[in-house]
Amino acid sequence: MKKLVIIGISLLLLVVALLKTGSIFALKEYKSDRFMMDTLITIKVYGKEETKLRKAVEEAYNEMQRIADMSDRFPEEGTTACKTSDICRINAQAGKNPVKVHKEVIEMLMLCMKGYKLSKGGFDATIGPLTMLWGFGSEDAVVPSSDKVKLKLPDVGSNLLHIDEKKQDVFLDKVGMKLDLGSVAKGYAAERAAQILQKNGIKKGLIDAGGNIRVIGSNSQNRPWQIGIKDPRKKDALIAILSLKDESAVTSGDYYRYFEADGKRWHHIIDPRTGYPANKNISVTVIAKDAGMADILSTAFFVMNPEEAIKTAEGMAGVEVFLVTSNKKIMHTDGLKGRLELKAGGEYHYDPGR
Amino acid sequence: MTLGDRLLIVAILISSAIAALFIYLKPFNKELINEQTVIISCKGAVIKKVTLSEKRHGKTFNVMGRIGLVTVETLGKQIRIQEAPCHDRLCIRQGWISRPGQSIVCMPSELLITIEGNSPVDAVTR
Repeated sequence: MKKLVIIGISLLLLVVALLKTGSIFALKEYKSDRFMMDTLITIKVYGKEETKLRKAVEEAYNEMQRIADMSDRFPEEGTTACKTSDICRINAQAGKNPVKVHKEVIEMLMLCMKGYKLSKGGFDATIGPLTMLWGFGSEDAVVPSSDKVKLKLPDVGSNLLHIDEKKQDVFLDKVGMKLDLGSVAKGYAAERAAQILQKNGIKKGLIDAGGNIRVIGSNSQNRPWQIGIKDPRKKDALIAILSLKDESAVTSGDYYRYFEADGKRWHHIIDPRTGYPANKNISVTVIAKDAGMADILSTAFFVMNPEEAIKTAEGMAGVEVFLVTSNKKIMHTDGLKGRLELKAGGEYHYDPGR
Repeated sequence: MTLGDRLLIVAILISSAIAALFIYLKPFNKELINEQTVIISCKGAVIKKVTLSEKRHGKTFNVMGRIGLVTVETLGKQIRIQEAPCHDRLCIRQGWISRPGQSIVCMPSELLITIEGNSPVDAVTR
């Protein structure tokens, strides 16, 4: 009898040890990295069967590639890549003819119009002529002369963009106008990928499209996903950690794509109304259900006054914002209280009462 | 209870304890010996593994990216891209990384450098 008890206890010990590592009931993890949309896209999913996970992730990547192909703005006119890209075709027909496009492009442009309206033109999908002028990412990025910038401003404006949802076509009023979906396509693609994963039965997963994050369910430890926000001024550091569940977080910052000239930093988020880099914030993170909307809002809020950005977000259901102003003040919406862990160092100001 | 029974019981107790110890300690082994493994991959395929340790001297080495040679430098437990053939040089600008879960991405080279291990966060928005 006694020995049975002791054997029982020993076995229990072993089982407890195994449970601790989760090796008995653990879900399998499948992770994959792919270079796509001018960035690195990582997808991590959890489930019971690896073959199913692999298939789901493959389908998600295919969908993202499809979105990338139809929204690419860079191919030269006349090339095959341009014929596949709805955006390239719309730009080529600017001032001439409406162009029939995929329904996904209509969806992206409708989201862009929302961003345009709520930011009073601070976000604009027709910013193409200005991004081309500044040439970020290319070898010859230079500060353009103010005359050149002024010359481009009349070719920018979503009031000159016509979207016909019924006919599924798009028209730009003037020759020289150019759509640029650079601040929506990655978020939108991540959202589509999440939908594909969910359709394949995935209940836990994370899509990281170059820092645009979309999570499904909770993380592998059944806790909310822990998403760090990069410190905008210190390399190798986080400014805060967010807890997310079934939503997305997208950041716009002045520290990633930029060049230096005349002792100044010229970053890639251009205010479509002035033609110059926006200078009110240095980092803006938006948390929203839809990753496409989060992508647009992070750019829109980056260009806006911080107080106005917070106020606008407070008025939107399911939208939160965390931002660092150019005076290094940290601000966020009330809704983030309780799911935000601040990591910021002394160089930032933060008033928790706000 | 015979002597055989007692021996059996002691044997089971000891083996359970050893198994438990192994399982609990396994994730910390690398940290105990203060080393980190770095995986370098190009176009999704692993091309090199490097071990980082406080004790090792710094060194530089080249790896082949999609558009040419990329020079990688290690120093103690840190690693960075020192030179790359891309125009935007974003990978060089990312500087040193030193913590598990961190990575450096080089787009034009399709190169990814990741420090293995558990990060305190699941991902970073930037």
